[in-house]
Amino acid sequence: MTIISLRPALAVATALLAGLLILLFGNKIKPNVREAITILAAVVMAAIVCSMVPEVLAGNVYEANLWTIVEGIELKLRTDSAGMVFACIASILWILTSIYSIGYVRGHHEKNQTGYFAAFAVCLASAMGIALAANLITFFIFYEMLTLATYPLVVHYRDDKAKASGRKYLAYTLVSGQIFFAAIVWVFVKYGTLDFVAGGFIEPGSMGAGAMCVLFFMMVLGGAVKAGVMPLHGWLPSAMVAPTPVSALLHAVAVVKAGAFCILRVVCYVFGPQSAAWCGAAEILSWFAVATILLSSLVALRQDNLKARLAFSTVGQLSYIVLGISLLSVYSITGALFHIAAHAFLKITLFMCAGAIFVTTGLSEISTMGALGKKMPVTGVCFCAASLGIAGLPLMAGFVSKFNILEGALLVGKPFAMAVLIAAALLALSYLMPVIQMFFGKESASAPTLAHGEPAHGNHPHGAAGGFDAAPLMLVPLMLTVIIAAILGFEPNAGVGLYDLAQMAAEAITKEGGVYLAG
Amino acid sequence: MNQWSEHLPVLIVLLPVSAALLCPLISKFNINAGKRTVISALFLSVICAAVQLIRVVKAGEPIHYFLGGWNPFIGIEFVIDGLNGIIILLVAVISWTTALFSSPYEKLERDGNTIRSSGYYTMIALLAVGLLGMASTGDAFNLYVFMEIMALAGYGLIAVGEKKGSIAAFRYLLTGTIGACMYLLGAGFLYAATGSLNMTDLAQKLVGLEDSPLVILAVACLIVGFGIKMALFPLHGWQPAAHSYAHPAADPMIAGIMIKIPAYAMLRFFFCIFSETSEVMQVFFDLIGVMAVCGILFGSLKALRYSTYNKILAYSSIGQVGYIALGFAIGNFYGIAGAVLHIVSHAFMKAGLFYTSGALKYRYGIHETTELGQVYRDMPVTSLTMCVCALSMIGLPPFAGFFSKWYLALGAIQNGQYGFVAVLIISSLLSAIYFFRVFENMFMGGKKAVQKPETAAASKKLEVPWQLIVPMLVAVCAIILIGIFNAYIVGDVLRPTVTEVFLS
Repeated sequence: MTIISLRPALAVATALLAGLLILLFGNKIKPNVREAITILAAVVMAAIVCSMVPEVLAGNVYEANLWTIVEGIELKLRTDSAGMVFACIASILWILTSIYSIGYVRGHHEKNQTGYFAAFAVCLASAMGIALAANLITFFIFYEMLTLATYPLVVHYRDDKAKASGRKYLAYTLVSGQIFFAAIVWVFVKYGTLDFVAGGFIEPGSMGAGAMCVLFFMMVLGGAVKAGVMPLHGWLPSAMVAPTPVSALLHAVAVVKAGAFCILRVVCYVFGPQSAAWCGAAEILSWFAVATILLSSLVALRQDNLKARLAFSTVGQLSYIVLGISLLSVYSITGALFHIAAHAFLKITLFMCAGAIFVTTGLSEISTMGALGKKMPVTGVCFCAASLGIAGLPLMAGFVSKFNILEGALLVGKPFAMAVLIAAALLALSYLMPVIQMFFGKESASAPTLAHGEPAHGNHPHGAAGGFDAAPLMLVPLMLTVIIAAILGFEPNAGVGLYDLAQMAAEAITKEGGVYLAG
Repeated sequence: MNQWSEHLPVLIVLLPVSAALLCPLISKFNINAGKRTVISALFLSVICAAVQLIRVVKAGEPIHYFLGGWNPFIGIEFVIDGLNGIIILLVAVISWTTALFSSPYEKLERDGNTIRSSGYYTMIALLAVGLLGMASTGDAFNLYVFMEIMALAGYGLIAVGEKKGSIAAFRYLLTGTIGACMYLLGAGFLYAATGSLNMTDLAQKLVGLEDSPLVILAVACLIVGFGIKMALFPLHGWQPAAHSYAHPAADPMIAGIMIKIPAYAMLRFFFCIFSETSEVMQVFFDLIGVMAVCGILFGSLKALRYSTYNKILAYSSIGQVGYIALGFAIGNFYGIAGAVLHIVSHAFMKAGLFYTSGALKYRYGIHETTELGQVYRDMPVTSLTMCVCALSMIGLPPFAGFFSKWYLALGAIQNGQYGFVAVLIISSLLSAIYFFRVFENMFMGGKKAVQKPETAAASKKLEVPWQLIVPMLVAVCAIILIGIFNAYIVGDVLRPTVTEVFLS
């Protein structure tokens, strides 16, 4: 049943309004009031999103037809189950990230905080729009908005390095965005509709297999760049020059997940498993994903900068989602969707830990972090737990999703994909465990030097002699995220029923046949 | 009341004409009264144009207005349909905002010189007259008259600009005259072929004459004539200098609409008068397509080479005019809708960008984008305008530029012209490069600009006087509103007009 309601639009509007208010009045009001706007908007948005969950779980959808955006197509928001998964994660994590941000930017004495919080809010509005968009043009509008809103965050420090990575980021995202745009127009001319349909609206055989492959990759390219599928991941490690909460947002919530979600929408809601399998494009995509998973883990091993290592880990983890989607079976798609959630909570914890370490001690290189666990025990434990989760150990959220993807691979008969998944889990352990070893090991020989991963602005209270661990505004959010990740590992349906939502979406997508064999 | 509204088409043009004539006279007595006459006359034109547009859309059919009551064979006819209703409103709005924008500028420069002040405003009003007339008229010779009025006022406004302005004006004078002559020749050939100059009449009499050499020659002359006036590649030679060195306050109008109205006139000729389905016209459309593609690429690439703000904008215009011509070359409904939408949205974008250029010159005397140095801290409204206009120019949603690109791409794919889509994309990306370079300087530049002493006192509270801020905000609002509600413009206003009048 479809419920016509403005609620989905309100969720987007809340964040947009917050961004606008902060931008207009940010410099005139006190920082506390400005941050109150952010947190208030985050809470309101999360409340709106979560209030829609019960109806969606019951099989209904909320729909907001706003107005005709181009002739023949409406600006339409719709809460289907897949969208709700993304929307829930984004809105809940926004609350935590904003609290963390406040601790971080104040602890680090950042400049331009107004622009920072405004861009943050707009990013979240776009992420919400991406999650709830009901057709390709609505999706594209929010997708490009996200690109634009993230740019100021990437170039936050406004030095040459930031400029260079800003350029790189734009080069990757704008080029792929424009190609995506051309593909959308093509689809509209050819099929006369742009509405997302679970299971896709492009019939196999409605165009030549070669042409369909080209169309498929023109669209997937838009998502693959943001999701960091190799060889399109180049912007992601460079974007690490941004402040850490931004990296946390980019790599756990907004940008990369939007990319993965874009691939999901294109493969499962535009093409549908049948067409994607028929033209052979899903097979090719799955090979890209497999290669990315392996290569990025190997590259991550060699990174000494903690944030860079986490960035390459993200590249790999995102390809799990892409692989899950491209396997086209009901389990793997459930796993992929759930991995959007699991990875979000786990990776945001890791980034928040990295940020907390950086603000508290000024360290950013792993080799200098010896015995840090003594000074920051809570951060160390949380980092450890989240690392195990990323590697996919049971009782953490990462296990649930990876097990589902594995099951999907088994069902479609892809032993190689299974082998890769298992190998990648071991690789993840091998690049994260050394960090934990450093934490709880001996004091490092080299004196703590100032970070060169992130330009040092402001003073670092080296050694954090006075306080215990990081500031509470940073510590509490990162503890919360890791606890949520653990709860989701025990009970994937805890809270808003993310697993059920993921499963509903996957079943709707594959409703006719159950399992599709790719290729 | 009813009687008044019947005379709206001519009233819109007549108001600025009388203001232009009265301005020097009134200025003799009170220098400010003269300029206020022009600004208020143009404001009344805006209101009249808005009312007229509503009337036309409601009536659902074109308004035919005979000047002086003479019937079209002898007299002049104004024809207003949904399409030029929008264009007339556009011209009126930008003329009014430009006149408003000029007033603090002109106050700085006039030194109590009455002739200078009144002359400037007279030219602004006359430029508006020429453009409004060109958009309203239904008579081929009358179009020539208005085109000359437009051009003469344009030469003046370019010449009173910066140092190199007079040379730029002379160059435009030479090429512009050739353009006007070409148009006159074309109209002459058409008269020779049909014995009529009324556009509706021409359209009927030209049926069956498509292959006649006279008509083919006429079409060729018209392409060159309009091509020069709209700065279509490779006939754009005069444009970069003219747009760069024109009077900074008049530049928004010169760059925003002076090159758009000839484009509109070209549309009117090619789709209303000639039958666009004939084989000969198809060849010409292909030719225009080639010119458009070359222009888009040339303009965008050339803009990359400059760091002078006005130069970037000028070369970007060459590319953007190519978009409009591309719409003609596509030639189906979406192509034309995209072209018209782009005429409107690009007028606001380019005018908006030249407003920011003017505001920067007013406050800091900045010409180079490298001098912008974090100017956004002191000039938030200007920076906002620049961002919105530039992002729209790149073609990013939800701004107007994205949607005109959408319709153009839609039309091109419908016709199977995939190459055009590729060109649109490449041009978007190139413009992203040059505009983000400007953004980098504006938000992250190192050098800080020093405020000009003579304007420091005037802008204590606001970044620049309100007369400069209002036009910028008008442009921003227009771009956002046109973007969000483009479907109503295309579906409710353009579709009935274009499918009935143009593609029948």
